[in-house]
Amino acid sequence: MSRRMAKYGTAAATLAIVMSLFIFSWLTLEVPFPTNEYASSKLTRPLAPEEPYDGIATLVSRFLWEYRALDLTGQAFVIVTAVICCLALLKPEEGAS
Amino acid sequence: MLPLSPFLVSVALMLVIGLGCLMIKRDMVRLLIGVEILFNAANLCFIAFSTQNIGFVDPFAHSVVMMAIVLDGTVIAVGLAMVLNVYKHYKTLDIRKLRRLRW
Amino acid sequence: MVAQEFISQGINLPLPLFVLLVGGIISPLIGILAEKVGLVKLREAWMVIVSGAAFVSNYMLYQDLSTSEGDIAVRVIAIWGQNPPLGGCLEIDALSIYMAGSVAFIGFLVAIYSVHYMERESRLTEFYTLVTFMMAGMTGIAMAGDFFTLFIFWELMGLSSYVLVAFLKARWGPIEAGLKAWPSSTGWPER
Repeated sequence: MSRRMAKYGTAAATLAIVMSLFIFSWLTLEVPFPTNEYASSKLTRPLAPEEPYDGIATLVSRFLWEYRALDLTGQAFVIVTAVICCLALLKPEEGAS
Repeated sequence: MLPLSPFLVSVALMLVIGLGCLMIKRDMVRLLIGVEILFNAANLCFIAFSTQNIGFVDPFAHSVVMMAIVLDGTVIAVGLAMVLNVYKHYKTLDIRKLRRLRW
Repeated sequence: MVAQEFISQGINLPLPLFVLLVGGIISPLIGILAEKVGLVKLREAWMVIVSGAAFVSNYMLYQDLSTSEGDIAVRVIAIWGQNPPLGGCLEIDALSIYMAGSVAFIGFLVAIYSVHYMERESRLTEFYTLVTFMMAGMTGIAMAGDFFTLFIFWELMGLSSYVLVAFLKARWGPIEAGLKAWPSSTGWPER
């Protein structure tokens, strides 16, 4: 059983992937997505005008610092944790610490 | 306002390609690349939906994507450090050789 | 989701989260100090102090929450005056206190136990820092009021846990377990 799986496994997986490609593409193109119909219009959000294309970055960072400061603080701690994680995995082991 | 369908089709394509890469490839670094492709698909989906206002861009989706890119970088860095340690023990990058643990 | 009280001035994190985050940031400095000065158990003592303080402050938060008036007691903490629905917030109710309290209690027991268990290991600074950050991440998950805040704290907890699984990297067992824990846990939350 497992030998047959090992022989035909790659071909079956490729077939499954190609079929899911076709099904996803068909779904995306044929079925309409009413994306903006479910959004509530009562929620006014500060939208950024897209005309001066290079000013969008400044507006996004202003949005971040004005509305999402808690998450940015947490993100800083995540970056510190990632640095300490890489240190812990890559430090050579000495004897007893 | 940009048309939504090409973006969604590419998101679906990238999802399937990333999943296929995770399923088929046996080299550990290629698995990390597959995870990276999945991350990029999700970020592209957010950005695609943020352009759906006429003449305006929604900065909320951009802020989610900015945070997700940083987190994605940290996760891949930790994954690469782990792959290094695996190579020191198993002397191979083949993920099919990691069968000593039952699960 | 009835908000009884809005505290919105200055940096106003709830005390357990604040204690764990600040304790986690100071912990590498304590580790460097311990190596320079030669005090053997300084890192362990700092970890026991931090987790004990987190447990005590959880209890204080519980007292504060249970003596407030009204039917439902919920604290919504929005720092720097950024209110929901657009700003991130922390929402604390009795379930959050219960989860955060159990995290802090078990962390306290882990801190006491690992004084003897991890005596002969190397990289102890990173170990205690990562355990503290993992506790902070779990407390943040219990207290998050927004999905985005939940995601950030989930990543904090997840990142520390992948490395803590693979911590004893001299043997093949933890390393292989770490490499299997990482994709199976990464696959769910991001997608």
